Amino acid sequence: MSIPFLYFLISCGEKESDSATLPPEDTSEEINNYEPSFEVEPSNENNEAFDESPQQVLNIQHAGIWNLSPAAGPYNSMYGELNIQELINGYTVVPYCDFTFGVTGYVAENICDTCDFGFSIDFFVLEPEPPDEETEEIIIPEEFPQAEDISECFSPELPHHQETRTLAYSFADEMLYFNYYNTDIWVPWYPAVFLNDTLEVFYQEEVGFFGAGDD
Amino acid sequence: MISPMLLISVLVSCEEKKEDEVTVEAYVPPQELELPSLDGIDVNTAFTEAITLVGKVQLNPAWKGNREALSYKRPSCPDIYVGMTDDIEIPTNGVIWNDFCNTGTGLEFSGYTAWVGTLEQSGDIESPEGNIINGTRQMSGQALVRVSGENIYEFKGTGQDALYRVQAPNYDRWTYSATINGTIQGSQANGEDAGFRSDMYIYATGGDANTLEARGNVFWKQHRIQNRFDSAAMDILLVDPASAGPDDCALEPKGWIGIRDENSFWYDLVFMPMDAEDDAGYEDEDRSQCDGCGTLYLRGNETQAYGEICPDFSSIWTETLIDLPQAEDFVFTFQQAQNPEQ
Repeated sequence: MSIPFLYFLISCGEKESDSATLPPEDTSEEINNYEPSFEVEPSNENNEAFDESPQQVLNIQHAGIWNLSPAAGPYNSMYGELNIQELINGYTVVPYCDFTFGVTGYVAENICDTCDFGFSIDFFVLEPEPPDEETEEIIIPEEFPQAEDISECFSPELPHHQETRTLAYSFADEMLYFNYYNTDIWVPWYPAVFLNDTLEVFYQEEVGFFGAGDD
Repeated sequence: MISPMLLISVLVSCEEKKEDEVTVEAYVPPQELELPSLDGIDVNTAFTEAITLVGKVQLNPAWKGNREALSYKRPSCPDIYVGMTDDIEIPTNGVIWNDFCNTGTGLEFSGYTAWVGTLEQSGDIESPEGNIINGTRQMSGQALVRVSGENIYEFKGTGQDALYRVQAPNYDRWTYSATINGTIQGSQANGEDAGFRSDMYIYATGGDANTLEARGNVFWKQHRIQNRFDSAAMDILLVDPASAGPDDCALEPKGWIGIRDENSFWYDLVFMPMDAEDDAGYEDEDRSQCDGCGTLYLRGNETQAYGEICPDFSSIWTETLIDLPQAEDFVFTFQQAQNPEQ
């Protein structure tokens, strides 16, 4: 048996005798980092407000008219549409996302404390209407991505096709509240205006946009 | 005849041997490890306090700090983002703020924070079936929010936690777990001096049976246990004596806990092995007895210089050991972040 091999065996034997469960002998690392681990760059010399702007923005718009019945209430059902549109950098010719939900709802008994009426609403994605024969087809360049399915839209927490959600309306806040996934926690969802047995839903945001991804 | 080359080789070897030779005068015996003084330190309490503090190494401070910071949001400061990027780690379906801006009211946001929460809640707490909460949260970030030089929220790293809780009349049962890999601090996060850097995993149960499992390291940025110890490391399982089973040791935990003083000395207290197979390092049965005392190691050397170390962990089982999140703490939507005034 060669000497190096013997030495190897001895080394292994010593290692095995170490305690596997005991902590390391001593890390003894001096840690004196009491400062923030992430530094803020100084603002400009004049100490004026500074603000980085997103390189790209996504314009999000959810809008629709919901009809309530019976007329003058108290309401026990509703129907309408909700159009979901997302534009990258405001480019309107080719929206990144353009889908329409059909919505139908029946009165919900459990509504938020500050709300006046509410519905359990079914959301279903409507098939896009075929273009008129006379309309010239727009050829979309590859550099303009388009969502092929509503799940590819970037608006956070959009309903899925055939999802049911409970929303309730507050006259005072002019706001539709969402019973967050039926948890009895009500969060503000869509601004909406009540007028003549209709709710006009209009939600708009402009947010920073990282990109649509490679696919 | 001896070859000249061999002769030279032998001479060189002899010369080398002479140089390496250790003389009696030059021999310096290994120095005895000088043990630090622990005068004025209650070592038992220090270990107990370390466990109490580790119960606070959870995601709540980061979640709360982020939410509180965003309550001061102004239009475009910070910008909320959607979309996909490889530059930062974003939890699936997460909401992100990402900016380097001043709100104009003295608040400075820099970096980013991404988060996502999920919540399922059902049932009635007054019914026999009870109310069930099942929530998860994830965060990632490299964010600092300051006002007038005060650091109100800092989060760097990743974190996640999960709560499952069933509450009914005369019944409460919960499990909570959290993993923090990073730094959380700031006056709106965990208070003035409770900031920490950690890679800790904790798993706790409570209500009907209290247990706490903790594995990892934590360094408190400013807080010092008994004005002396700044860090803790552990792999430990504690069971509340009140809910210990017949096979459990109610007197002491399983595993080990180390606390580090500011001079980099680790004091490692080793209790019973974590499981029956995991008995390496327990050469004799005395060390693995359920006697309420641990074996203290200093820089890896067993020492009895500080007497018996027998911390009483029975006092840690209070309702504040784990800051359990409430159901609404798992909900922080895009709309809430974007429009905090609503």
